[in-house]
Amino acid sequence: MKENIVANMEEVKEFSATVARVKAELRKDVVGQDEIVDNVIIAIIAGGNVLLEGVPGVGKTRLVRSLGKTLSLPFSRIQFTPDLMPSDVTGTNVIEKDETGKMVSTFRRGPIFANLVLADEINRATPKTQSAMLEVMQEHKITIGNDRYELAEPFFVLATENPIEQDGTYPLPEAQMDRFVFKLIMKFPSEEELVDIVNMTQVTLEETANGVVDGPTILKMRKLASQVPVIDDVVKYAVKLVSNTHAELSASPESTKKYVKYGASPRAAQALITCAKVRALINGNYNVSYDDIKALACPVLRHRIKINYTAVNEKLTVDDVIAKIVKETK
Amino acid sequence: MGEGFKRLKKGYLIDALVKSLLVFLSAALLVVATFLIVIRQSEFDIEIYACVLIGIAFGLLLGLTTFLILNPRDKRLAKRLDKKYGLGEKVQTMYAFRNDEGGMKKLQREDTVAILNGKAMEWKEAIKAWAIFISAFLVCLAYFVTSLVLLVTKPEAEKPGGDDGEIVTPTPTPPPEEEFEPTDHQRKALEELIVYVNESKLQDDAKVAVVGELTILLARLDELGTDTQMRDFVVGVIKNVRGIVNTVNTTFAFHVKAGNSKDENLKNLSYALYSLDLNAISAQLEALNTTLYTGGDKISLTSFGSELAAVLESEAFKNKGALYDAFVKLNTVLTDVINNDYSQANIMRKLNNALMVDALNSFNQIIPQQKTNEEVKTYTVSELMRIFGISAEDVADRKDENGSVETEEPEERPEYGDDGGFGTGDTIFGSNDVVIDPSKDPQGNIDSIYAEYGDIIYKNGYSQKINDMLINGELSDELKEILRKYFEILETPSDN
Repeated sequence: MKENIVANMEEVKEFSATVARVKAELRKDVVGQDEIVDNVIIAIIAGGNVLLEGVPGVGKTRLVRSLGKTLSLPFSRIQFTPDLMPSDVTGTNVIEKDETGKMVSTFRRGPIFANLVLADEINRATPKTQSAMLEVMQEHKITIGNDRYELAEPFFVLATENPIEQDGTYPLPEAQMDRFVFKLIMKFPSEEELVDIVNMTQVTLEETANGVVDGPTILKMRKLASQVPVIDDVVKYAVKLVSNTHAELSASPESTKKYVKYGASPRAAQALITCAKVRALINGNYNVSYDDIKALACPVLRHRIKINYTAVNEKLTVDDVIAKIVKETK
Repeated sequence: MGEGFKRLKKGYLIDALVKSLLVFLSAALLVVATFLIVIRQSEFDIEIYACVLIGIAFGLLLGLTTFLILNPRDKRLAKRLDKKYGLGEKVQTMYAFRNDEGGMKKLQREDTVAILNGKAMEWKEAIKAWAIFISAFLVCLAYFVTSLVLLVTKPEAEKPGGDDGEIVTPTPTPPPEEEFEPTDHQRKALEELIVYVNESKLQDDAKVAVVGELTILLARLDELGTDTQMRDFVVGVIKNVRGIVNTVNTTFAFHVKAGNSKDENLKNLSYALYSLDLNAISAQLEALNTTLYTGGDKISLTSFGSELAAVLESEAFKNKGALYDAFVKLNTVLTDVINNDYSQANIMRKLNNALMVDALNSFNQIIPQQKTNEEVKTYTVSELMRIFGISAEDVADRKDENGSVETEEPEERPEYGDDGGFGTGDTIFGSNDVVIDPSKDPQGNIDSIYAEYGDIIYKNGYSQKINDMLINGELSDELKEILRKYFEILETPSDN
């Protein structure tokens, strides 16, 4: 028993140290965006996927590439376009001659077969292609014909949406959005950050991060994080927070009734607890606290609730509304 | 849960106990002190020990309640410590999974225990909080001590008895002389009384005198410095008013002499006259007419006549107005009849004329005025007594040898009812009392809507209804006879 405790303690210490190393490596290639980096790491360890929103050139692809290097994980990038087919994502069977000259059917894997996938501008693809991608994200499996292919773990998709190209886009339906554990918004860097970016990229455009962790380690970290205890009161708080996003419920706060069109699904409550455990452990805590839940409210909820015209008229963003709901949830 | 948690729990337990004890003491002292004040202030009788018991019970109730609220039970303490030290639900998690040996949970527990071991009870902060409770306790203690002192120093009532313990009747000390200050209400009431007497139908000579008495009283009000002086003066005015009216009301003087007559007939007549009731007087004259002489001897006549002559010679009644004249006239006839040998028929005719014509007519003229005089006098006296708070005893001026009070006022004027009158014993029915009848003068005032009772019964079918009942045989024989006599009296024209 004593040995078990010692091992766990070491694992926890190693957990925090690993995360710190990952962050340090990422900072070599990604300037600023600390919150984005933290949440992406949380999402990877929690086993979730992230939807990233930001204007072109803020470093979305670079982040994922650096992440791939840091985590020593195979990385692929899929640029979604309106003519992209599902088979372009998953792969397809092709007929080719083998060594004997016989025509055989061979499965050619698509770019989805990687540990880290950057699905760039996912909202440019057709709904059919989007759904093929999202199914893979959910199942971590691909079925082509009678064959079933499992994706390597850890499998992480970081999808991006470009907010300014509204023409020719196919917005993800809410049910699909729900499959992303976080939605993160990459803001335009500050002037100081931009200076650093420019200086850095004058030296090289290539990512310079080194691998400091591998896939099995991440899986171990995921398992460790799942053991973090959370008391009933905190679980109830997370549930209450998600319930309070539903205006049709009589117990919901005034802000919800006034500004929210529809609220978050039960997956939001699952995401809150799962990611809060990772966050707690990253911060060196062995339990989940209310602060962990509150800190993750915006990333978890912002793509799961829809604000109404009243909020828009009052120039409130979805983050503003979430902040009000958090404040009114006791 | 660790030594640190236990140590902190102990500290919070002491804190809860101290606060609960202070609440208990404060509440108990407050209740007991309040009871002591109540006992001192009023005649509320309760044993001291009962007050103490109630105080202790109340204090226990509040103290226990305080302890239940502050008692550091593990779950509540865990929440309190997390909040106090900003531990992010560490202690609550430790408590929730205290029996769980799973790897991370035990690790979390060990980590929290280590943190708590480094924490100590902040006694300075606790003592600061105690200061509020201690202040409240000191205030309650001061209140209790004050109430105790007040109770102990309460002056005791004097006990009866002298130094040797015998019961001694204390000598009554006369009450201090109270000053008299006439109020505006008294002045106004007296002025209104003067107006009333002036406007009344009191006999003129009496009116002047009574108004004069009241005017003097009004003028002298401010000179009456003490309550005793006021009472003496007002009693004097009351007696004067009585005397004035009794002087002009010669039925009073007649009754004073004739009321003790040996002759029953004269005595009855004097009572009838003194009642100022014309019906009674009329009935009595009628009775005299039939009993004084029935034929044969003149014994009754002689007796009545001699007694009447004696009354007429009395100082109080002699030459005193129309009543005297009427009786002189009657006496002349009686003397004539007694001394002369008239026939029976002649005697009866002369008696009838003297009694039922001359005397009755005289009385019908004299009595109403005297009745009015009596009413005004009664009202004036009662008003004076009311305005100045004079009791009936105050207006008494004579005590007999037994110490009982006699008044100058003669016995109350008799009232004649249906339980028997004087003379023949016949039942006298009805009266000419007045009742209010607005139909008499719908636009009038209180003075113009009085109607005689006899008039009212003829309205609204009242007498017709009675008549129908008599005819239809709905009444008993006795009741029929009573009603027959009743209406006969009422329907007899009045001689007033």
